[in-house]
Amino acid sequence: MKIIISNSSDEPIYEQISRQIKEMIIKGELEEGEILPSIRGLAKDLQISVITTKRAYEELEREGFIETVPGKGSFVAMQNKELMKEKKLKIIEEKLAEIVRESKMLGIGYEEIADMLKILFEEE
Amino acid sequence: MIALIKKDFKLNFAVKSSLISMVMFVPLLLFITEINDIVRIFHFIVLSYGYILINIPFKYDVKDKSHLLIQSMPVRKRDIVISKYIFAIISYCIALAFSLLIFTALDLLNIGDSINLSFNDIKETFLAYILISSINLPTQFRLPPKLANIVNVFIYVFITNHFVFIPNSTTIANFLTNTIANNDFLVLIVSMIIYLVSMIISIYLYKTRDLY
Amino acid sequence: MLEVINLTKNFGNFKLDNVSFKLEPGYIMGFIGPNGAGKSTTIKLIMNLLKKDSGEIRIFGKDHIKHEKEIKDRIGFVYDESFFYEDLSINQMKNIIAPFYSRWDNKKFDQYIKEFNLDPHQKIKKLSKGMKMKFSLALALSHNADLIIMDEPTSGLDPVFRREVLDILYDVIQDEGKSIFFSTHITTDLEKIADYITFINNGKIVFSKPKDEILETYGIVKGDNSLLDTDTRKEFIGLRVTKVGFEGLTDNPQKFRRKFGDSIIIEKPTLEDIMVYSVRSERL
Repeated sequence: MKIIISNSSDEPIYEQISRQIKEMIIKGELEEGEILPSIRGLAKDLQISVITTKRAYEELEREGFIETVPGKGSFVAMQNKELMKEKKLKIIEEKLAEIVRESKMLGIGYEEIADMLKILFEEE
Repeated sequence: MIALIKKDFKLNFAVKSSLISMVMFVPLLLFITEINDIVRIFHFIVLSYGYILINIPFKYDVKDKSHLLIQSMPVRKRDIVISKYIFAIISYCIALAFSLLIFTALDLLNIGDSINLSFNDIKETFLAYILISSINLPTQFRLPPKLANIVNVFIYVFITNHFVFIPNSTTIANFLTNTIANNDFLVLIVSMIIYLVSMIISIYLYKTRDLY
Repeated sequence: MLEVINLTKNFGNFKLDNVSFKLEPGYIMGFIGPNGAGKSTTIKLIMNLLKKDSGEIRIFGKDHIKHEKEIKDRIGFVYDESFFYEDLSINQMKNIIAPFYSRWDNKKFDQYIKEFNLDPHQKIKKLSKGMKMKFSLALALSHNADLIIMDEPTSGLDPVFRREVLDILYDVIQDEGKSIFFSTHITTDLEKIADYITFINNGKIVFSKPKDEILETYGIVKGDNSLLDTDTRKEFIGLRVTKVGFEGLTDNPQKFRRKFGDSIIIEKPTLEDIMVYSVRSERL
């Protein structure tokens, strides 16, 4: 299992962790039922705080990617590939809705947002 | 409690430098002061060694600030004080035994005048020692270590003077010597009461003191 | 595990004023502040080396004076100065200390001494500062303590060794029943490992929050001086203006992003940035 975090990135560390784990699960690199490193063990290996790893795991659990059994550890949850894709789409939809809300508040129109989106897609 | 007493023990006997200075101290002083009366010498040795033994651990507190270490460990301030009072008595016993040993040796080797020590002498030294400690210890527990050590030297010199160097020349010393000779039990009780009161005062003083 | 509530102590020219913070089991709290801010004083009050004027300190849920002895049995402490008997050897010192603790583990102690490359027969006065600190740490970790309190343990030590200490602390914290309280003015030590940060300045607590939250809330804003006016200046906690531009700490970087867009740079602050800017602004 490979997790690499960057201290200089703008993305919060807990997000980097949960994103990388999510990707591994979606790509199948982490199998269903596989056990994840403990929160404290991961904090030690990555040399970060326990709260950070805890937060990452909590987010993963909230989104249904992992399950935590008290006393035993955290495991990759049973994933329904279709369901997962649906979940991801739903998250994207929610995020887009928020962007639309914010834009309307600031008086930014669709064209401008579409341009921004285009640039971002070309960047990544 | 035992751990505390053991610690004071070790500080006195486990370190070569303290041992050497202890053994060298009194003969040196005797040399300087030239007391001829055997009884006086006896008093002097007992009081001096008792004083040194109880004060070496306090000296370390000054030098190494070790009282901060001790106080950070699981000990009650009350226990620290009580252990010192117990150790003071132990120090007296050691000093007494040590002096008796020296004198027995001198006697056997037929050095000096024959020695006429009576039980009275032991009583006198005990009383003097209790008095010194009853003032010595509270000052150690209240005053900052450096100041306490200076004050204690004065107390030691003052009381030793009266009991060792100029006995029979003051009415107080006379009065005390006579009382001691005639009222064993009373003297013992009174001195123990003074000692206990001093201990209670010390506990109170130490509890309310800030350790820097 | 450690709870300080409205702790106050007056020294005449310095006052520790209503200090409050809380540390739960399983976490590391960094206690930061400039020299003289009151860090050592707070720790001395927690350990009852100084008498508090008012306030409450609870450790393991118990009052720190009423249950002093049983609490200290479970506390491992490391101070920045060594208060050992300098004339004794490491072993002699250990033999004096060990009987005070009910859960002393001699095997563990020997392991640490070996790991730290210390000679048990070496006299303490011959040890370097780093070695004395390692010895303190070995002692603190050898009696199954649940709370480790460290007062500037790494000041005066080289970065290599400081990193070693952090590794050891990470090992300690693998047990979620243990907590570590770590005061320092070298904030880089805490950037990585600390879960919570309590910042004290001039005897008062500036904040006590999860480290992640702090680093996400604050931002360093850099830009051209032309962007500064009385309104924007108010948004800064600390500001540094030079001939070539300004740099400032704010707890509301999003506002700046919205207002100035690309004409400013916003960076993640370090704990040192936060401390320095907060302290400087107070001094003004």
